[in-house]
Amino acid sequence: MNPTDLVQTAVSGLANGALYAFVGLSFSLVSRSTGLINFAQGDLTMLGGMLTAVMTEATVPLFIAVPLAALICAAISGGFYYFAIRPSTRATMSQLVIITVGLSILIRGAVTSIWGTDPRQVPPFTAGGPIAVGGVSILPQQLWLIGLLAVVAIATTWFFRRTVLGLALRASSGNALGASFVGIDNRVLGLFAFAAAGFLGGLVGAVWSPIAYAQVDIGVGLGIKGFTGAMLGGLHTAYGPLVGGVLLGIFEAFTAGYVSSHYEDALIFALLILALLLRPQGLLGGANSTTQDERPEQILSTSVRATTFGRRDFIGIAIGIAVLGLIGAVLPGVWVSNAIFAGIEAMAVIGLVLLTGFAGQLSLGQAAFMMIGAYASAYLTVRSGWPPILALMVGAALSVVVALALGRIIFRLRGFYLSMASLGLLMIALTFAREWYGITGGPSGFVGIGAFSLFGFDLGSDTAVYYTVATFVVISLLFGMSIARSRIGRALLAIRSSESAARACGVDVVGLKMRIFAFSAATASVGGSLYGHYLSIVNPSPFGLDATIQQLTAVTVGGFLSLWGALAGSLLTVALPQLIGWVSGSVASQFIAGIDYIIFGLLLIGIVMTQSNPALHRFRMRLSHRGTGAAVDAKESVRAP
Amino acid sequence: MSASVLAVEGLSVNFGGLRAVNDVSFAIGENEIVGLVGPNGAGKTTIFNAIFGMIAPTSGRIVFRGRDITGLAPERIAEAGITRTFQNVRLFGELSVRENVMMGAYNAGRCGVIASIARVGRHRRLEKLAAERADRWIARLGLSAYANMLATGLPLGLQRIAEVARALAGEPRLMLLDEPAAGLNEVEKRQLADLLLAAAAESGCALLLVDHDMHLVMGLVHRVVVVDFGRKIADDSPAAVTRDPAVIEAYLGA
Amino acid sequence: MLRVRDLHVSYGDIHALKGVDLDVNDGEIIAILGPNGAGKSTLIKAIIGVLPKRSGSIAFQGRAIDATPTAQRIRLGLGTIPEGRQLFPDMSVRENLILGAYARLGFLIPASLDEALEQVFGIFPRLRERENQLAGSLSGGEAQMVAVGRALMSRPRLLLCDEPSLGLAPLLVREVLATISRLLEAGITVLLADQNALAALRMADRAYVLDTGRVVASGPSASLAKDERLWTAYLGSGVAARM
Repeated sequence: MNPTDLVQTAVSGLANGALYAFVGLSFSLVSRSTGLINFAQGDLTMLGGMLTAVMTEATVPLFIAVPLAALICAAISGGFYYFAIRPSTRATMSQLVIITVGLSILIRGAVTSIWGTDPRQVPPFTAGGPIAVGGVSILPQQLWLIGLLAVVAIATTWFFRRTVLGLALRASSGNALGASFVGIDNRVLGLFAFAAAGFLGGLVGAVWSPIAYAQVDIGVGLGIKGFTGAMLGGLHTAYGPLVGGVLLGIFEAFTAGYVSSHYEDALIFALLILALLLRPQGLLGGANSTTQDERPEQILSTSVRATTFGRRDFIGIAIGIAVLGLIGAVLPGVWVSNAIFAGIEAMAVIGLVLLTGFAGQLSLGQAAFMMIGAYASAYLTVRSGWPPILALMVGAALSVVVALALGRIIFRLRGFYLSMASLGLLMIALTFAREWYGITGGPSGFVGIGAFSLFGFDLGSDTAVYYTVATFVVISLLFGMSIARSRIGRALLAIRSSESAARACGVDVVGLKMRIFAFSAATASVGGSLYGHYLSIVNPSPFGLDATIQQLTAVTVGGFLSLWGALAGSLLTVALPQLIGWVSGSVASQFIAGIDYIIFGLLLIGIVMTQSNPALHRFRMRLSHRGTGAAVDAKESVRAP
Repeated sequence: MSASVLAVEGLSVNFGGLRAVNDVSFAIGENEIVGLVGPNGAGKTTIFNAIFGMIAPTSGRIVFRGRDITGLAPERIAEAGITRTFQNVRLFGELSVRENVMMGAYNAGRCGVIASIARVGRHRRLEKLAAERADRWIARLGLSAYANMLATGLPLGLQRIAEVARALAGEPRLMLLDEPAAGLNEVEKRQLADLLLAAAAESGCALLLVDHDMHLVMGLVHRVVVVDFGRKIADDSPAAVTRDPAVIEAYLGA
Repeated sequence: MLRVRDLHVSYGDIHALKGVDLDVNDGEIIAILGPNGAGKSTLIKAIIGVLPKRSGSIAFQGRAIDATPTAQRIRLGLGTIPEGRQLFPDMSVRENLILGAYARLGFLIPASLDEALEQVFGIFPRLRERENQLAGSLSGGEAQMVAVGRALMSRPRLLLCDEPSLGLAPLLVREVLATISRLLEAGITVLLADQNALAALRMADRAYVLDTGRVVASGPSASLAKDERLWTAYLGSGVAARM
């Protein structure tokens, strides 16, 4: 490699790094003022690019289109804080993160519905070809981006040192209570941070769009890369996000240029996980910046939830089995396949109920384990001729190993690292599925998978598949229930309320989280295996972010703590797009694809907001106490015996 | 003292450049009730947290029943036989009072996820044990009427008692109580003190009590350890400690 | 100057204040006494507006401030030295002090603020030496000076002090209390919550004794100090009673 090439690679890395730096800075602003990870950050950047593209197509001049796009993004982000996050005063962090996932989907849905999924081109700000400097060629647009980075870096310094708001933001992230004593209103900071993050995201999206294309799909990847950069440099430091973002951009350019252009994404997410392992406070972070106060999860129960098996459970299970059995016999053909998909989704969601609901650990990577199961089954049955049940078990074992390894790294840290790290895992899995042709068959996938069979019986007909899936669902449900109705279930709910009190009772919190993560990975993996056998083809597309969104919505709809709710939520989230499809019939399909996202996004935001709104909560408590007895009265009247 | 349950030997804890606890040593005998007192910020909580493995000591040892437990994780310390209550009550919000107290018996033995799914004999035994202990302590501490209510729905006084029941269900040899009387009125305080005395005698466990409320502490304990600025300044009977000039100086700042 | 009537505050499940009445007149030093957990800090937090009240009323200089945000209350003339100081550890002493004036600042830090800073440095010359040091690296006494200085930056007329002697050596406690007395001569009224009942009573004109969220006694310091029943029942330290 000659020096010119090196410089060339570094320059293009620097330009992309500027992009990640901006996105990372936006994450940092929001996180420092509210403690939140805003999952919609990447989508806001995408929206900035889209808006610029659409406006320039409508011959709006660039000097109007770019600032206008940034302002619209600022308004959306700030408005979202004001109307969705601020009123949810009872929400815990993981619930607020779910709300931001809702916004992310909402933006994707709206963009898809209105402008479609095709890439759009934006003209460069200054005309003319690449500028050559001593053999290194730079696009003028890259210069724009790097210039903007320099401006923002200076402005950031000025802001955090010289403005009252900047000082207030630093004060509040260092000591929120102290900040409130001097009159700093954290809600004002939150509003500012969300609006500023929207502005920065939208602006960089607009400036970057001429280099690549503006396209709806880029949001998620941008978000994770920006977050990774910020984590690398130090999420809660002034310059960490900028430094980390630039380093990440350069790292990416060099891996693409000199290591592998196919696996660059996987390498970046591996870097994220490595950063979490080695230096969670970031390169520029001090030693103590990971200490966090314990934040108990919100109490969802309005009445006592059983943690031992009762008669109602046995009746419930009996009825459940009977209903599932009956459905298979009477369901018309079209619906059987929907029921199968719902069952497969439920496999992943049952694990999520225990992990996210019971233990309070938000995972967005269940689809990665489905993929491991699906590909393991495909490879082992087709290439190695293994019996399906054995392949399924190997897939599950593999998923368990991966979950334990990742869990070991993640669960030593407090906070919302699991949500980002699991998303990173999903992206790694997707990269491998697309690129590792020898094993996975690449984007077009692995074809010719036989039907699921057991002891030589071919279970290929839709009805047989239905009963197979139903059996696995019932087994998972029973397993899940055995955990929920045991000392482990009690311990998980205890972790959810107070980790330190749980440890004081003798609960190995880290170990238990790891094991439940592994359990959720195993059920998801089995679901993935069944999926492969049913469709006889496995490719990466059904395991993307859409699957995660669907599962998260199912858990949320199902009420977080209910295994039966997991089933109901899975049914609903599978049926909903179908119903939308029927209702809208002949409307253009892109519009419908967008509507699905919009509805899921609204469901996530709406449900969490109703759960965490104090007035509505009081109302629910009153309703439930009217039904179950006079606990509220007891609280008012009872004194110590 | 050969019969000591807990021996803290030369404990020091540094935070950043600050020496929060400086070479503190004391011991607690079998069935002894010891008060750890001192002005705000004197290092009581730090000592407490160091004993329970919440923070790592900079130097010194903590020996529990002849075993060095320095640096063990809290859950291991709970298994060894020390349990605790929290200053700002930390009951488990999704669980009933009875289930909360059952959680106290979690330290009785290990039984993993798979063993729980399979409902092996060990799991059944542990569940039975937890239920028995929970029922016993709930009855003993007068919580029977509230056993099946959500724990955080109780008034604070009862929550504190429920937390004590949870700590007792772990059958500890030593129970650490972090400001058990904070937020209680005089009547509730007296009731709690009586319950603590009776429970400690019945279960044969020693108590280490941290509280600002000298009145409560003096009436309850056999011995008082006084700390100020991270150092132990007195270790004696309540009566002797109140006459100690160093203690008087620390408390009055004059 | 300050008038609190039937104030109820609860956070979470804890009903921390159960109907507190309190009056502070211009130029007075008022002590709030009582054991830990009695509600002293809650009362101060509710007056400054960091904790919302459940019911009751708070009026400052004849004006109801129940629904007023903290920043506005500070602009009206309330200042706090919060419990545990609550400094911003990763910011410099200077920045900590500047933020004391947050409530009356706009977007940019005005040059006129230097004057107020000079005043604080005049009272605490040690802070001038430490101006650019991080607040987190200060000793307990210096940190307490920053807390007092930060409160002064907002030019309060009523200063709420929550445990100003917390974690300080006796000598420093006296220094802090002396500073507070000096403030009074400069025309600031002081509300002092302290566990150290004797020292607080020595300074204060009047005192209120709180227990589990209620005022159980109030009156001139001298008469409260003589009340043996009060000492044994509420002012906790049996040690102090014997003094």
